[in-house]
Amino acid sequence: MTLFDKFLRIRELGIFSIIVVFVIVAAIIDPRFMTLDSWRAVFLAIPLILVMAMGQMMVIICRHVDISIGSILAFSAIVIGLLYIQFPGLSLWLSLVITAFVGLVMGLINGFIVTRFNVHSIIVTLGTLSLYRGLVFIVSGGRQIDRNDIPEHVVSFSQTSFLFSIPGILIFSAIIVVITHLVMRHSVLGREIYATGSNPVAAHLKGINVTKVTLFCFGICGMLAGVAGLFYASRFGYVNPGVTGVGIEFIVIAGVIIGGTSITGGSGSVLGTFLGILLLGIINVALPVLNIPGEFQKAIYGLIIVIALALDQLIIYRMKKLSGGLNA
Amino acid sequence: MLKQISIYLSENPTLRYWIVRPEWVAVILLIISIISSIQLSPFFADLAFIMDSATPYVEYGLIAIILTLIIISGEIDLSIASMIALTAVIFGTAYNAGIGMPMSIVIALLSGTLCGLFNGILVTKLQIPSIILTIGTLTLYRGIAQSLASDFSLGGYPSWFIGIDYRYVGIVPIPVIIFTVFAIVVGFFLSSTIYGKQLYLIGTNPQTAKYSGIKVDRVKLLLFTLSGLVCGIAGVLTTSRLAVARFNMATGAELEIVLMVMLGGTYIFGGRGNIFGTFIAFWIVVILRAGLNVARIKIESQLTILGAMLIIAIILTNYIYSKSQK
Amino acid sequence: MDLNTNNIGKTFSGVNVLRNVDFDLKPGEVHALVGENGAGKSTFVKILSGVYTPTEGSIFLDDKKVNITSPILAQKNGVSLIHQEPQSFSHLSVAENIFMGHMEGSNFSRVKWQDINNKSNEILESIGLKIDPKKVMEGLSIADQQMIEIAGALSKNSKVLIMDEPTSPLTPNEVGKLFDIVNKLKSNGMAIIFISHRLEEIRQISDRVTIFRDGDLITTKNINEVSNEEIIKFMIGRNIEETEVKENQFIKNDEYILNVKNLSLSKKFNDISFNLKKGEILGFAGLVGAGRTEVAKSIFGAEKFDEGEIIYNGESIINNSPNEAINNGFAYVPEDRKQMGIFGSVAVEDNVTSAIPKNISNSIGLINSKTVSKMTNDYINKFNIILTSGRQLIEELSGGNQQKCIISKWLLSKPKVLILDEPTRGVDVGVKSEMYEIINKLAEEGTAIILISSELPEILSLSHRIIVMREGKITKILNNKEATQENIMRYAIN
Repeated sequence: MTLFDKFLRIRELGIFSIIVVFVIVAAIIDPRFMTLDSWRAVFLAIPLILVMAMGQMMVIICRHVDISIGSILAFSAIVIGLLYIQFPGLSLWLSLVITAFVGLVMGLINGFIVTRFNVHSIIVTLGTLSLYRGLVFIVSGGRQIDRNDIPEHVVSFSQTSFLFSIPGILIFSAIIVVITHLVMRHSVLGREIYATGSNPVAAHLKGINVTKVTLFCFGICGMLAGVAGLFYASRFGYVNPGVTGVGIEFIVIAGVIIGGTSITGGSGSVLGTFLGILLLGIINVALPVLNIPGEFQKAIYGLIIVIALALDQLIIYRMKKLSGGLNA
Repeated sequence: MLKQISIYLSENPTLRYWIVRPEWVAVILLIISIISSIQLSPFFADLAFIMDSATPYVEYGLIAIILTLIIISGEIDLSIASMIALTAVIFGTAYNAGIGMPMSIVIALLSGTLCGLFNGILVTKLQIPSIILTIGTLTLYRGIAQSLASDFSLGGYPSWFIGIDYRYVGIVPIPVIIFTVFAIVVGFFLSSTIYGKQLYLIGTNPQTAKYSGIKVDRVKLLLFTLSGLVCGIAGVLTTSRLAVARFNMATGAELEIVLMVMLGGTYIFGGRGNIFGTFIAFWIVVILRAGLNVARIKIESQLTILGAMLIIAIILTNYIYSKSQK
Repeated sequence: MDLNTNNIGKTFSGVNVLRNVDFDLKPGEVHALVGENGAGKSTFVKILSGVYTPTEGSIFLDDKKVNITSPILAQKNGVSLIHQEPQSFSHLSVAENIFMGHMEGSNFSRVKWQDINNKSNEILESIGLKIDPKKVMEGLSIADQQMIEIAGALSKNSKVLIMDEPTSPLTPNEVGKLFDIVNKLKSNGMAIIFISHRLEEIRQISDRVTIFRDGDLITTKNINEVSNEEIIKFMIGRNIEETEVKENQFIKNDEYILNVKNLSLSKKFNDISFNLKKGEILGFAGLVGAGRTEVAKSIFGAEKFDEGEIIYNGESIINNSPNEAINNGFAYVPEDRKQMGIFGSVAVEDNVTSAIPKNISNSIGLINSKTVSKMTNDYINKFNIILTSGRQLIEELSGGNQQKCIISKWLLSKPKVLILDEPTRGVDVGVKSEMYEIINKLAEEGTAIILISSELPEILSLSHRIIVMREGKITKILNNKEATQENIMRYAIN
């Protein structure tokens, strides 16, 4: 095994070095990038994406993809926004429970269709992507939830907290990341998720309930997208049926894939996903600093996805070749 | 009774071949939707109204026909809507740069072809599953379109170019004629030529196809490239219809295009399906959309119905094929 | 643990594949199951391990009747199946592979890493394997993966171990290691069922042998009380016929159609040289994994080769793809019929004509469906293929009829060199003899045939010459006259 192969294997290290190089280059080009404001922007931008990425990572590890998360986010945001209009005093904790539940149900619907009818999850969630988005319009009647509809205590969730005034969503997303890490790395169920993605046939033979594991991943993915809906309402102060969450699934998927989660299932880590999202966040903030128009963001993300996919395939190819199991 | 029928059918494969086909579901759906829409509004008894309603979907229909071929051969292309937008934006940019209409069209078609080729190369050479890859290029192509056009609408075309949907032959708009002729030509190609037959073989079992001397990778590469080219054509047609090109045009169109193919009974795992089904499904989508509009259901809310239909169509098609196989 | 079965039978969609099996297995014994393909031994072990449920009869463990309806239930009852191709999780650690599916605790409890690593270490050491349990599975050899699967069975306190052709993917050296482990387990009181096609191995490792034929358990014997010839006799139900020495008019000529010189492909085969005459049937014998299929694929252009030369009709050629090979007059009937041979949900006639696109279409590619039907019907009649019509889906035919269709497909391409890879695998005895007639006739007509087969009687009765391969190398080229099962096996095994 060459050094190159080892490097390929430890993907977290690879992405970390890319981040370091990128930051250094950006800082040299424009020192403004290293100010506290820039980094505050980075860490305000990522919690929303990061939370969704945790769920998406679980789904991708067990060999599926959920592209309906943007619509789930929008639906839960609209639901909670409409509730705020009725009950402005709704507590943050209850809001969290409600959005989580809404997302959970939608995720479970995805999981149910995928496991019951054995259709590729991308096609299924392409359907529910529209279905849920349509529901957003039906429920809201096309009306936007405005800044003054959202209570102050919810808005402040994304601005400050009791802890050194660190924004609440940042703390909360950090907690979710840590829990996801513990579940995926150290719990029995987490290891069963990896096993299912690594070899579903073997997982079934070993007595793992593959359907249950898959449903769990889709359920959690939906739940976290639902929670992200609350984050959205809190951070942006509005919810628009036609704008909120549109296309966000591709940013999330990009982050997960460049974080080293293999689309063929069975591998990926919370640390890698975090670094992947961090890189996207840094790029996002660095673009204006580097005088690159914001319109280029999507193209850059798209390019990153394609490169990451190609790299992933290259790694699989090299690993097979090393173990001598390559059959053309 | 059902059992007897199924035994009888399994003894008569030719008969079964004609009877147990998911496109009959599409035909029945079409009849139901025509009848119920006529109940809804007398407009629908007017062929000219339906023809006019069809024009905005012709671009999707053209792509759905190529996508049918791709899905039959066991792959999928989800970057289609982004390719429409990208080619349209490239077309608009080129024209506004003053290089003339013919050259602009050539450049648009060429860029579509290149996008498709890029998909094809990554799928066949790097063996990246197309369903995942085209999710990536979907973002990439749309992103490039956005980088090129920003939030501007690229317009300023000569009047003869604008409004292809308002040119008629009799009561039939020209785009509908283009779509119908294209469907017939590709349908004939798929059903009657050896190349069409080989698409089914590739989709049924790519390994056996390779061992039978079929150039599987080359065929797939060609299909993806063709998909790009047709998206280029669709991009130019859309620009003509809307008189402007924007980076966010045809957003979410992959849903409707995939829906047309799936409703038409093409098997998501490859090897089965035909153009007739897709052609019928095109009209279902047209009538459904027109019906929902007449019923004053908001465009955005219609997404719910389209999304649900996609899922139901796939489940139903899978069910019918699983029955016809055993 | 004692395992007994009483009157076990299994019916698949009306076809009785297993009848009245009364079988017993004692602790501390290795019990071999032998039989030709389709004899019922695989079905039987799948019933024991819970993959299938029997249509009739019952299973007893220590004289207690048990209902084994799933693999999990079988494992809970102490019966574990070791798969021929190890089913492992390549991304996970060795210890996780061993304990996956039965780790302690509920869904969200913490995996006791220390605990499972230590236990894995103990188990691995007990079977004499030195692998770090924390190592990631990816990159381990098939043999190691198999041992880890055995370790998994031990971690579940299995009392009955069923090994389905465990040795076929292994090198001889690895087989030795496996047998050491089997012996160790046996002395600890494990009851082991061992399936193999290699009589030498069975003789070496097992205490008793049970022979299956056509869904019946024929007999159970102590291994010391039965000779190889007798076992074979029970397996095929008749004496081995003295194979006639074959000759045909072409063989007397010296018309070489194919010369293969020093063909090599890294990790697959090395320095393969042979030549082939018109009308000759050249047998390729050897164990599974000896590299015969890989050589065939390289000649056919489905895989590349690193070095060497192929001379065809006096000219050096390289088939870069199956397409080129077919145009050059090669044909290849692959061993894996389902994966590479048939288009399952496609009509028979489209299958049969799939390799000759130019013959069934005109210059612009229009298909002439009359030609398609006629060509197909010719072969349906000629080979007596049983079906309702040419439009029937090929996956609905029996294995033997499918194989006849595939051979028809390749004969339509009028090959000069026909490569047959395990052409009679999974085919019943009647079709088999029809197939032999076809192959002989083709050779009489001048087709050069490469016949890869793991069934020695088949190779012996059909081939003019026999090439024996072992671990990617040619170990011997035998003439029909000097070849016997024994000396082929001698060169095929170490």
